[in-house]
Amino acid sequence: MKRKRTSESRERKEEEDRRTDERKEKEDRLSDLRDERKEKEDILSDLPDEVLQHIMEFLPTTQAIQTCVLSKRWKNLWKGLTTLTFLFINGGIRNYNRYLVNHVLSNRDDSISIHKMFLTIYNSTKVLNNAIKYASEHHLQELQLLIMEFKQTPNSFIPLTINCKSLTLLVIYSNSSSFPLILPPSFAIASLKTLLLFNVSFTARDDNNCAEPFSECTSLITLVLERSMHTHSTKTLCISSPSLSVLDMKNILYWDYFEPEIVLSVPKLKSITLENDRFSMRYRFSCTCDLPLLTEVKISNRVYVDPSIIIHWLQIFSNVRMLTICSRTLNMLKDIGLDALEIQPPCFARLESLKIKMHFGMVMSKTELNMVVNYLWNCQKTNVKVMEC
Amino acid sequence: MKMMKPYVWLQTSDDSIQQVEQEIAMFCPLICQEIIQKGMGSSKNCAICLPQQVSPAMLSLILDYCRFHQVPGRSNKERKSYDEKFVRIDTERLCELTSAADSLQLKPLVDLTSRALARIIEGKTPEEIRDIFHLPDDLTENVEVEEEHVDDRSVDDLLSFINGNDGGKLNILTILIFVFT
Repeated sequence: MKRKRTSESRERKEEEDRRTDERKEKEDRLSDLRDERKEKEDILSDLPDEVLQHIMEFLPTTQAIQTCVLSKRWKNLWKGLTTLTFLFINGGIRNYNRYLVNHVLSNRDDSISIHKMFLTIYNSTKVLNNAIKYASEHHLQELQLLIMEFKQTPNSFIPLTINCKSLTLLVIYSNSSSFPLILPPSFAIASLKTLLLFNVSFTARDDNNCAEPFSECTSLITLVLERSMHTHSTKTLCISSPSLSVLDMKNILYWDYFEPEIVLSVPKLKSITLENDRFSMRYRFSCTCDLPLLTEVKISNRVYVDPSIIIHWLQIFSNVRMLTICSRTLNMLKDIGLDALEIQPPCFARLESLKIKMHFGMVMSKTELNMVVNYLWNCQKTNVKVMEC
Repeated sequence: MKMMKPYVWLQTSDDSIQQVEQEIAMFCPLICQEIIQKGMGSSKNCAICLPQQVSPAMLSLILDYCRFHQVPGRSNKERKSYDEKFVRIDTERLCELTSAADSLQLKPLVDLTSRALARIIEGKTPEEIRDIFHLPDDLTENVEVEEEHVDDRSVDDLLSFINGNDGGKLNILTILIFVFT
């Protein structure tokens, strides 16, 4: 019995010794590693500061500012960043993000302008407004906002954004579970080239119930609107812009019983996309000119609408060169081919290619599809390439 | 007479001189300036002296890149997949390449390699980053070590907390950002 205990204690001692050796070995290896690093040359040392900053700008700003602990050279590099990315999404991180935004803005090099800013904001109008105010004083060119967890999306930052006179790109993504961002009657940022709005609502200029928010964006080239016509929005939205070339409207209606009117006054329009898979596209659509530059039209409507509405859209866009239409949209037309006298098909004088995007599990037969295509395009003299994709 | 394809003479950091198709070399703004503004590179005697950062190995990599992108009619998908494979090299060479491309003012390649380097850094602790790039540990000695260690940890915890939750929502913004960059 006693012997057994002795052997046990001996084993324990051996085990302890082994552990101590291992620890020692590990420490040796670590110090070797440290020595090795001292010997090896810093492989980033050839790169100028601007390139290191360029690399950091591809990182989220949290990590970019962490590089200040790397070495003496890196200590202040982050202060000259011109792209700031505050990407925190999780609700638990709200306070941290608030601290981070303020920390970065108050410690960065104030003499350097900001080129791009991506900002996620949780129910703090103060942080949002401060950040935009700071950015507008630092020649901000691109701003992308993700606004979360507000009951009513605040719009006090809009005047501050309008104040960013150098802004060329603006993305406002307001969380769809909040009430929409209410856009003021005029949204005058003359330098703006690209604008993307998600979950906003438009306000009429005066009593005539017609909103015309973009007419003072005189450089606007690309406009993307998504989920933005709400019941309490104005009845008529006039998209009027002398320079607009690309227009995308995705699920623009927010409630299907709301029937607004959209008027296009866009003489330079080259490309338009109408996409809808949620609510019926029950808005009236009209155009003040015949769109002489129109090149590309994409229609993807997966919710049933009256076939006459689709024919009406095609008539508006009859100047198109390349038309892409989804098979579900064509499916809605299959009944009117038999009764062609009732609605005249549009005349596509310049059409070069027609692409039909096939949907999996479509109930439409090949014959029915051919019939619709023939009804719409048979009478055209030009050779239209029909592609299925 | 057979038409000669115009060539340009380039001298790399090891003083060796080589002949390169002019239209490909012209992709690099620095070489382009030398040819147009100074009339350099037309013969071996007036070879264009490239910056110190451009070794023969790096020059050959850069010219491969230019040669691929100079061919018209390639789809964006082809270009993207070429670029992806192109930066799959060891980190030391990637740094060298970034430095050489920067010295030749070849912005698209600088963007490409910088993005690749950022991907290497992303999600790593300062200690790991120092190891990868052999950075001198000249800040975290003495007292600072402890403080910063605590700080790193909390940031890591927060990061893993974020990454572990709500990944779906992150995608929305990531997509937005990639659309416009």
